[in-house]
Parts: sequence; structure tokens; C-alpha cells
Amino acid sequence: MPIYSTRKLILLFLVSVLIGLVAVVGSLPAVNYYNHSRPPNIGALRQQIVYYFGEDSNPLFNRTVTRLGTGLVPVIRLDSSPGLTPASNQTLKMTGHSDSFVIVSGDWIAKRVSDNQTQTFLYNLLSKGGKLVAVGGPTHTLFDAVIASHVGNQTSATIFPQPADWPCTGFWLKTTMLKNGGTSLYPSYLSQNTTDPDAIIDGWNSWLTGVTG
Amino acid sequence: MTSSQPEEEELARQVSGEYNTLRVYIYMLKTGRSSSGGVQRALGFSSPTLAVHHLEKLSKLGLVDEQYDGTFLVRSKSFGILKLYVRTGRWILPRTVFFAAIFATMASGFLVLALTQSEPFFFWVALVISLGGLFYSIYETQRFYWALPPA
Repeated sequence: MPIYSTRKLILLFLVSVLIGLVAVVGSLPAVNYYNHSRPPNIGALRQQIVYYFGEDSNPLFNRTVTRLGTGLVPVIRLDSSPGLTPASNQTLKMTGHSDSFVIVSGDWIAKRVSDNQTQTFLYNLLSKGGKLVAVGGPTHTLFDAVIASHVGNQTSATIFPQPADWPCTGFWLKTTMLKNGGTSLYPSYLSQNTTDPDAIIDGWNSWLTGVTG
Repeated sequence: MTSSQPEEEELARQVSGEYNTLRVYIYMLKTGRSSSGGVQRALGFSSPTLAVHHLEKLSKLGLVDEQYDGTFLVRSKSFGILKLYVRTGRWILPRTVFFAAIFATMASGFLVLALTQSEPFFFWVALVISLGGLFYSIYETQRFYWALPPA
């Protein structure tokens, strides 16, 4: 039987604690690596036609759109460069469907809150059940633009402004069945507090399936 | 190692196999030095002769040394079941106590991570596994602790 001095016994206990700590600390990067190497869930997002307005330099917006387009979901670029309007006949026709999912950046929407053409575009998109998300920048302006578009006329519920600039926000008028067999629209809000494109895309999927929002 | 193996087997047979001889050796390990009277009183033997018998047996096996004043001084050796323990001062502890310390640290750490991380699922799983290891190592430590005869 080995004889340990009290000092050696304490040292062995400290070594045991250290081994436990190494296991715990080592698990952090391992779990992070696993979580981030896992592709986001896109089952519901694949049922959508995803559009984005491409003239933007917001890094998070660009990373998210790039991630989405690299083998996850086909993304269609819409043009809104100076001189062109988001309310062109072609854009309105393309996006005016319940399976439209439009991505903009917070900077893009902030510049267009009071723009009549953008309001027409938003009304056309949202009143038909399309979804709108803003990524990066002053994303709270998405709700200001939605209110300015008067799409709230389509629902009996009030659309409230959201003051916080989350990394990603979204708005959607969801269709619900009434007891008398008719349908009604009610607002669904999305707020995401992550700057990881995979987590943002995962959150969109959950929002579409009704897990959040 | 091979040369000491027969000696270890002999010690295990002569000491671990004899309940009272093992009790006397464990008592000597805890105290370091004792007289036959001290052994008799501590272990509740009916006569000092019985204590002397076991101490002389241990002396022949080289596990205690008789001193000029009639007391006996222990020599610590590792054999049989005693290989599974460590000794410090008067304490004889099962080695599994170190596994319990490792699992306790892991369980505490994973609990903190599970409560603070944004994606805690894997940390809850790790916490459950660590708690399983902790309870099993405590159970085994307790079993080993009570496996030694009281001394």
C-alpha cells in the first residue's frame, strides 16, 4: 500500500480536479465545432422561393445570403440599384405569393421606410402571405416600413414597432382558420439574437414551421 | 516484479486470508507503532498472547519490526486487497476516491456550462454521464472502504 504524505494526497486531489477541468474546458470547443459543422435545418425554407436585394455591403447580410446560396436553398437576386424600383411589375409579380421569402439588410430597409415604391412592394408581398426578414444593421426599421406600408389594414391585429436592433428581424402575416370556416391574417414577428449565419437560417426554418414567432 | 510476485502471493495468503492478522496489520498501518497491549485493547482481543501471536506472524513476514522496548514498528507493503488503497497518516483511502474527485469536478463544470451556454443540450448529456460516473465511483469507494476489516 503506497504511503502518501498529506501534501502528496492534496496534490493528487488537485491533479484529479485538474483532469476534470481539462475534460470540461476541452468539451467547449468540441461542442462548438460540432454545432457549427452541422448544417442548418432548412426543410421548411426549401418550400419557399427565397429572394434578396443584393446591393448591400452589410457583412452579416452578405455572409447569411452567401451561406444560404452555398448548397442550402436557391436564392434569387432582386435588383434595386439607383434608378430601379423594388415595385417594378416584374418584381411585384415574382414576389407576390405566399411562398415568397424576401431577405433585405437593415441598412437597405432603413433607407426606404418612407419610399412609396418600397411601401407598394411590401404591401404586395406581405398581404399575400410572403415573408420579410432584415439581417444586420438597423433591423428595427423593418417594422417601421411594414407599418408605413399600411399592410396592417389586412389584419384586425395592431402591428407594433419593435425598438431593438436585433441581428435579424422578420415579419409575416400568417393565415389562420376561423371557426366559421373563413381565414384571417395575424402578424408574426421574428427577432434573432445571433450573428451566426447557420443559426439565423435555422431560426428562419423554425419560424416558418411555427416553432418560434 | 516477477521476483516479488510469489512474495506478494504469500503475504496475501498469510495476511489477507487471516481476518484477525489483517486487522492487526491495518491497525499497525494506521498507528505506525504499537505494543501488543495496545493492539489487544484497540482490537478487543481476549488476551495479549493473541495479539503477540499475530504481531510475531507479521514480524516473520517482514511486515512489522520488533523494537528493543517491546513495541512493534510497521513496514508498509502493498499486496492483495491493500493494493487498492492509499495511506496517508491514519487514513486508508480507496484509490477510487480520485475518480470520484474527477467526476465531481466534471459534473460541476458541465452544470455551469449547461446553465450558461446558448446551446446546452450536449452539456446536459455530459452532466448526466458525469453524475452517473460520480455516483458509481462513490458507491465503489464506499464498498472498498467497508471491505477492509475494522481496526
